[in-house]
Amino acid sequence: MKQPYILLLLLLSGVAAFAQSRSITGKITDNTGEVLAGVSIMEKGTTNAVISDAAGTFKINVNSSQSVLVFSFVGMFPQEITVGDKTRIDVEMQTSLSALDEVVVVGYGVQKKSDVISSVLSVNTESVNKVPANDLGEMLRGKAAGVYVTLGDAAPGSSSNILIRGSRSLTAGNAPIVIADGVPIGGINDINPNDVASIEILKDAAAQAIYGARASNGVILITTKRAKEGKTTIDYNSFYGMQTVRRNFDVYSGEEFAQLKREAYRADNNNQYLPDESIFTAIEREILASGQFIDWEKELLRTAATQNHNLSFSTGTGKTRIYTGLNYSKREGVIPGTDFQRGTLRINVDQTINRWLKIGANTSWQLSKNNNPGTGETLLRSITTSPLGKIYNDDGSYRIYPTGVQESVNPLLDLAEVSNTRNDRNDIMNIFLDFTPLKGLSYRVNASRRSWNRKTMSYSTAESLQGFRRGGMGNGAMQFEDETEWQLENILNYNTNVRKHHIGATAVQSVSQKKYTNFRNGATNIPNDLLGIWGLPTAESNLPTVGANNRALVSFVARAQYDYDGRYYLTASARADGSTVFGANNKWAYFPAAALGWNLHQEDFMKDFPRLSNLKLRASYGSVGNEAIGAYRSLSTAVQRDYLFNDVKRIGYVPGDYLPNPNLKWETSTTLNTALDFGFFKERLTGTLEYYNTRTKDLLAELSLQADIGYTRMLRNIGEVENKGLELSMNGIWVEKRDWALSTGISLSRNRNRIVSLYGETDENGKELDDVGNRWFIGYPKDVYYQFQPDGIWQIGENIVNSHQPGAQPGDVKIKDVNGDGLLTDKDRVIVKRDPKWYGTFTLSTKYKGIDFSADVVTVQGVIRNNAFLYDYSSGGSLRGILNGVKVDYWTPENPTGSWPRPQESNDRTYINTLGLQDASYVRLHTLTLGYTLPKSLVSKLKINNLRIYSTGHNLVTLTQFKSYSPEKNPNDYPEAVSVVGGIQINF
Amino acid sequence: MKNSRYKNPIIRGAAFLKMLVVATGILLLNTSCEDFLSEEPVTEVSIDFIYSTPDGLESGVNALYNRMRSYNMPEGEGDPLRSVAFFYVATDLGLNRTWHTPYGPNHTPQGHPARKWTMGYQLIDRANAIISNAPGVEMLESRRNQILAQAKIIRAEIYFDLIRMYDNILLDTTATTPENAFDEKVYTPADPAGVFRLIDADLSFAVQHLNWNVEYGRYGKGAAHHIAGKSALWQNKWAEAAAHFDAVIENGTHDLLPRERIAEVFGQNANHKEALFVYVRDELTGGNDNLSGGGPTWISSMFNSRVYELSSGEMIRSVEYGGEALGWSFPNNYLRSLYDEEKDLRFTTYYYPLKLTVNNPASPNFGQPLAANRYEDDFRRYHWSLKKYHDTEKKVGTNNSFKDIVYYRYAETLLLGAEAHWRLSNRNPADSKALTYINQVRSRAGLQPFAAFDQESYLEESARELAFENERWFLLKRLGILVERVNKYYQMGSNSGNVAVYPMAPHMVRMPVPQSQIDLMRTFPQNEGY
Repeated sequence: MKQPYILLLLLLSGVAAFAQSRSITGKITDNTGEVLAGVSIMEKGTTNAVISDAAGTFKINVNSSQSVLVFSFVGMFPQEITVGDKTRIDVEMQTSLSALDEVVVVGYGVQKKSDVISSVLSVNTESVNKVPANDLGEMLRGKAAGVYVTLGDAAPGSSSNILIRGSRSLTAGNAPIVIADGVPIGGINDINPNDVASIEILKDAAAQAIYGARASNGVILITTKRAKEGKTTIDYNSFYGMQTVRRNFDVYSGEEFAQLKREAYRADNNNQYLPDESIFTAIEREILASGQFIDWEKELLRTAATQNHNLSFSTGTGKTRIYTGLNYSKREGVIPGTDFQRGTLRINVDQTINRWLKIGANTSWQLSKNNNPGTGETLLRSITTSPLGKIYNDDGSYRIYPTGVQESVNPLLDLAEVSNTRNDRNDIMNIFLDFTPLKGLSYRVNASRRSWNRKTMSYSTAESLQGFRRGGMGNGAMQFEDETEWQLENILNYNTNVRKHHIGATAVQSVSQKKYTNFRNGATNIPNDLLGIWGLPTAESNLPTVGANNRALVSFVARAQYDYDGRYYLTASARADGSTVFGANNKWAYFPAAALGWNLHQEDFMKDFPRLSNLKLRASYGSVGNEAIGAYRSLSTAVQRDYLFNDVKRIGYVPGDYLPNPNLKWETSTTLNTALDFGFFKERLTGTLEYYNTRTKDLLAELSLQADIGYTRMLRNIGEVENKGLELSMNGIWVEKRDWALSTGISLSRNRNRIVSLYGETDENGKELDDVGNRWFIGYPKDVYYQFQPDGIWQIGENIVNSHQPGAQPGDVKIKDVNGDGLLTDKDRVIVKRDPKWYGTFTLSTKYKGIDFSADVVTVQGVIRNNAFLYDYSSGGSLRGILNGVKVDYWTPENPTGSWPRPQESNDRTYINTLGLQDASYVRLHTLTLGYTLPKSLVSKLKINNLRIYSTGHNLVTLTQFKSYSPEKNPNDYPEAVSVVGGIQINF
Repeated sequence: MKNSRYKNPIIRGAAFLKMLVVATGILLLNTSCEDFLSEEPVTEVSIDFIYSTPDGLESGVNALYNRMRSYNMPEGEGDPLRSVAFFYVATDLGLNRTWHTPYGPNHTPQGHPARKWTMGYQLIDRANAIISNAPGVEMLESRRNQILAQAKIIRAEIYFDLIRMYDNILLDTTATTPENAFDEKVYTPADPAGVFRLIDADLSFAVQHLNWNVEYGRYGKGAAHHIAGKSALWQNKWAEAAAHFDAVIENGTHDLLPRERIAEVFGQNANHKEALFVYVRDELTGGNDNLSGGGPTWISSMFNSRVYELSSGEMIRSVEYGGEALGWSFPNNYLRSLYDEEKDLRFTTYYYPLKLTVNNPASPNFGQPLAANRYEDDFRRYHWSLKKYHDTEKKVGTNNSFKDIVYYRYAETLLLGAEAHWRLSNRNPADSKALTYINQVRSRAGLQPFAAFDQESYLEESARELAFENERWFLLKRLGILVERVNKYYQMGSNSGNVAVYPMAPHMVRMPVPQSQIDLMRTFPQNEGY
């Protein structure tokens, strides 16, 4: 524990740079002569930097006449100018779309892109903000190689799932950590996308090392906007649009469902059709006669509005700079009664106290309200409820059972009678002090506190289905959740140049703690609906449940960086992490990392290739840890299971289902990353090719246990998983003229996941044994299906009795006898891989005069998903004729080519559950944007700097075979919206 | 530089260092890292409490009752209910319409519910923990014995269940700890004799220490004798069996309810003499099986038809016909043929009436018998139905019932006692104890006594009294006639046109060991035929 302090002291005592500083001033313009504000002027090899003011002027103190000033600005070629004996330097910047010299935010600092040697990927925030969503995860989809975004839940106010370079842990979390302005936040949507200045994805161990304790699944580094000195801007962005859905399946129409029902009864009745009276209820027969079938989807779904309004102020004087961002968004759901509203206020303040002390604060206050009465059942019923019914009673109220059959419940009833409102408050307060006591040395104290709470009020009225089932009583719950997390960091940075040698060192000490509490009161049988859930005190029974957990982390990090002349780079880092969640003797772990880089195009011998403007080789190797498991899993705790004796409650305690593991320890991911960055034709064609191999050891895996152990599951550190992959991204600028620009981009990623080893137990041939019980197979990806393989439908006349399924009937599912032994046994199960084989994005953007157009196409290929709606009874998939469902081509004696089994009322056909695996690959037109920027001459009369109007379509086209609303979700999950919005952007 | 107090950079550095030490030290001066990183659960007690204190051990036993209720009479539907319902339905007395199909294509290692095996062994482990830790806890000997007796009767009950269902099982009396959980173990079937030795030892301890009169909901001496008698029968130990049943019968704690109170046997209040053991439930302290009041069961809706779906619309959901129903399984024609429908009180008390009365107030025929042509030949809508689990407090719109369920009943004690004495007397048809016992049951039902005892009339009387009480399947299996009887009488069908005897393959007399467990155990053989 003491070593890190010794390191800090060493760093301090090593400070011995004395130098005479001098001041340089100048003015910066672009090639048209307009002054440029916000240009970064940096003394090369130091962190000494300033920014040009509104008049394009700057003033910087430099060390010596050998100092080199680097001028950089987004979209411009950077320039390097040696100071010499000049005191004034005026610069004309040249336009460029090259990103090579943009500044990239890395852990605890910024670097020029050409100096970055670890796997850090900057996301184009402009293209991110083109996506008209209020989930930043969805906005990131397809924007970065190696980042795989899938829909978490499409309901308003939900978040997406993000995976960086595949998933590695068997049981511990696989979600990346999100850091905003140096502070871990609760989720990516804690940040208003309009406040984002830059997003960086840290993908290899060398990059992650600095955030290592929670970085093994990758880091999403968000930097929010800050005001610039001497410049005041006001931005207003707003869009409004409509959303609808696209369904990639049919349900049986009224006639078709009636026929399915007849067939299902016929199969049970010795192949004889029954008269309709024996099959249908009175209402069903009435509807069959009248033909007034219900289209439940039409009754249920609506076209819904979405809107987003953003206003930001940015102002800076010599000593104080303030950025204020205000955002309001409202998204209605395509299901009535669902909506989401969110308001965010962010204030980022920078205050210069004196020459060696700056203080700053980043604050964000977010309030949101989400109405969602629980749509899973409703959507399920919109598919499964029979179309042969009546929606309303004669008095206009909803019929509970539209057809008179109790399995078919009216999906509209609970939409009207159930409410569930979540109110979230989410505050982030982050204060930092920057000390620069000596040239090259800086010290930051970074303190933050994040506080989140949620109030959930849910209520089902006496008229709701639940109310009806409880004999006309109301039911509901109130829930209060609260999470606070604080972090304190001490960060020490030292940079120095010795001729062409640049040396940097960073030391970080960090401590954080997270506390969560939950209180829920469920109320059963509230006698009337007068007060809704506020009638809770009158309930016959109130059931409180509580939950709480605490977890904490302590980390020490040291990093050294060296480069020679911007050509050869070396970085090494080491960290020590301690986490509460592991066993008493395994709290601490140590993770080293190192990276090498070579800027080939800086070498003299590369001068012979003038078309090559950039060529860099880089490699890194290192480890990070994963602690994303629940608290208290190393401890033996009991659950409460009470019982009634003589009608009196007595407390009961018993160990739960999980066997505690006192030896739990860190899961470690070790990554080898190699990459080639290239640029041709003055950076008109640029790209990166990256190969990685991540080996994750001591996997935190939840194992199923043999029954006699007495616990069903246990978390253990076992085995090894490998993720290896290739990522390629390329951008080409084909036309770059004053009036016309055209560029395209492509990004392709593939990841292969493989279990290398599990427990080390081997068979007689020395081959390691699979864990069939947990569906983990050596050499296969960790997520697989393992089940029988369907092989068509048994036909009349086939020799069934002598087959491997002697009990089957014609119309039953035929299973492949994989091992050919003539018997159907557990050996005939096959492994099916689920993960995508590759995914990619293609982008196109073009500008002609004031008109801009862009499109991006996202594709994911080779995903297999299990669609319960193709076989499961309650999802309407098992062809019983009781519930409606997703339409398939079922077998009947008259339709022997049907690929689904014969309908049967009495029971699900055996092995119908093998028919759910579907290819869920898709190609999607993710966004399509058309914009128009009004001519400057026109808008400047209105004192407006810039005014653009645009329209964007989101998810307009999706090509997939997966039968659902989205290839990533099942049909009863909230339908993914197809939306079109129109918007305006004004800059004053 | 003008603003700085420290003109000399070295002095400035020293001042800065001072500040750094203060800043980093704020946290770490007060708390050490070890303390900061230690874990203390906020809302859960440590298991040390359960196994090292008298109160803890008692709470451990209370929790076993909670888990046993879920094991033997689970809330809701799905695999938990299937794992139980199989043994109620799949006998010579059952007719199955839908939902699960006993002996059908899903009667496989993958398809058959794993719960009896997996949860059974979990409960055994929890009982093992109490049994192995209780001797080391300082407490009154009598209190310790009460605790041990309850843990042991539960362990014996589960082992008895498992060996009857699977024949080939594991025997494990060690309480699992994280340290011993992964000790080297080769999975092979236990010697049944060893299993029964443990069962009998546990039960004999329970018989010795449990009291006759116990709190409602607890195991008493009656239940212990009853289970011990069953175990003895299974091992063909007739004398021991007879002694256990005699003990219950000769003690006055338990008795048949008299004829005029026969409706109370399965009434709302199960706290009566005829109940040897009851699983209690309560809606207000319940909600799910983890809570003291437990979750709602669906058993009261499984065995009766949905008369309110009859297409005439003259019937609506009402309390007298069981409200919302499932109509998944019914008593079959063979069972009905065993009753004297006029005289046998059980036919009118244990079953819903065959004739319905119109109960829709909107119908002009309200209160009249339902017209003969309005009974439809669709078992889902109408079939002769079992009323034993009828719950008059169940809301008519739901399948959810919180009724207490009698799990062991004195009538079974009498019938098994009769069998034990008959066998003990070398199957003497005139054995007086056998006849006395069985005729008590007949007489209560309003029937004439048997003059002679034989296996067939015994099976018939047992069917009439105990149908659909989790008893028949095991009785037939013990007598070695399960496959034969099921293949003779057990039916599947949804109307009179398609109802037919449903075949049972001989190997199904043993349940399949769950495939998930076979996969995990690796060396344990699957029961033959699967």
